[in-house]
This record gives sequence, C-alpha cells and structure tokens, in this order.
Amino acid sequence: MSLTGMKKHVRVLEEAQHVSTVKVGRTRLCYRGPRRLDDVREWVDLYRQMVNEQLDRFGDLLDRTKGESR
Amino acid sequence: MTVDEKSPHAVSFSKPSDLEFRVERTFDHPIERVWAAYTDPALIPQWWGQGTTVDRLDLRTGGSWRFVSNPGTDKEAAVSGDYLEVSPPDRLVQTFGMEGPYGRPFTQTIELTRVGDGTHLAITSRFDTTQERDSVVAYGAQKGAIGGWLRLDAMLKRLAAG
Repeated sequence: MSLTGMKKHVRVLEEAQHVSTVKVGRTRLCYRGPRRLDDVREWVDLYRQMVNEQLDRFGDLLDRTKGESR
Repeated sequence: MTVDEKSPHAVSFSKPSDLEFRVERTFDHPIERVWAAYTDPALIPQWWGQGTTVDRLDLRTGGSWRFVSNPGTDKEAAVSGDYLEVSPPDRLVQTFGMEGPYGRPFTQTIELTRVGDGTHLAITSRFDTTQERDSVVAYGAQKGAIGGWLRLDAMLKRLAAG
C-alpha cells in the first residue's frame, strides 16, 4: 500500500473515531479508539436480544394456549 | 448480516436489501393459531413486552392500530400504524410508526407459511432510506437494553472511559 493510500485509510478511521492520531515531530502516532467496534456490535446484539425475547414470549404463549379453541 | 443457529426455533436476522431488515422464526403451531396470537388484542399484551396495552386494533385493510408501552409511567411510549393489507392467515402488511421524534413510519410485511405441522414467520421491515433502517435498529437496541440494565451500565461505563 502506498503512503498516500495509508494516509487515506487512517483519515477515514479517524473520522469514524476508530483511530486517534497525535503528531510528534515528523512522526504521526496512531491509537485505537475512542470508539470500538465492540460497541457497534453490542447495539446489534441488544436489538437481537430484544427481538429474541419478544418472539420467545410469543412462542410461550402459543405453547400455553395449545388446545384452546381460538 | 445473517445468523442461523442450529435450533429450528432460532431467530434469524437478515438484511435482504439496503432498505430492509427481516426477522424469521419457526413455531410448532398451526398457521391459524399463530395468526390469531399475532393479531388478537387480548393476546398481544402477553408477548409484546414493555407492559404494552392495546389502545386500538381495527384488523381490516384500511383499519388502524395503536399500542402503548409502559402506560402511566415516565417511559410511556406509543407505536401505531395502518393496516395496508389483512389476508388471514398468511399475510399482514402494516405501517409502523413510533410516536414522537423517531422519524417516519416504515412498512412491515408479516408473512406466515405452513411448514409441516408448524408455521414459519417472517417479518420484513422496509424503510425509505438505509439510515432510517439503521436508526430503528439502534432504537430497538436501546429498548432492549431496558431488560438488561447491567449490560447497559457496563457499556455506558466503557463509552465514558473512551
């Protein structure tokens, strides 16, 4: 990868707050964060959990009312 | 994003297009009963969650519905919409809007299919833009967090720590 290409990658990651950079003399140091990929995945996991729980309750209701003439 | 666990009752999530997401699950019950449980105003509060009550449910094409969650508390919130197509026992198309500053309503298509003695349920939500779809997933995530205060707390601590 070219230096220019690398700089573009870093800039995109920095704008998305996945990477922070600090310029020290002629060197630019890169750090992970502040945002972490785990946080993004966590939101999706929480949504998945909510829908899972709702459909579990729906399934439980069907099991519970089995045999009733609805 | 598609996750298919081994169990026949696992919930599958997918994004069929840039504007949709779909949730699917199979139940060991006949299609008529699944339809009834999904649309009966007396049964909806038993599975919807968030202490939901049915304020209005006029189940016919052109009718409308409105559910209130956590009524009488500071977390009270309402969702409502119109029935665009009501075709028991296998197809229901409705608009779904969160009342308040949560953006435009989206369209939900609920499809039931007989699978042996059971029923496959697919709920496809379609949005005007990808951004709206993703923000609704995030909103749902926040609601989901209500049932998991510890996880939310841990997450907020991590975010604050940066």
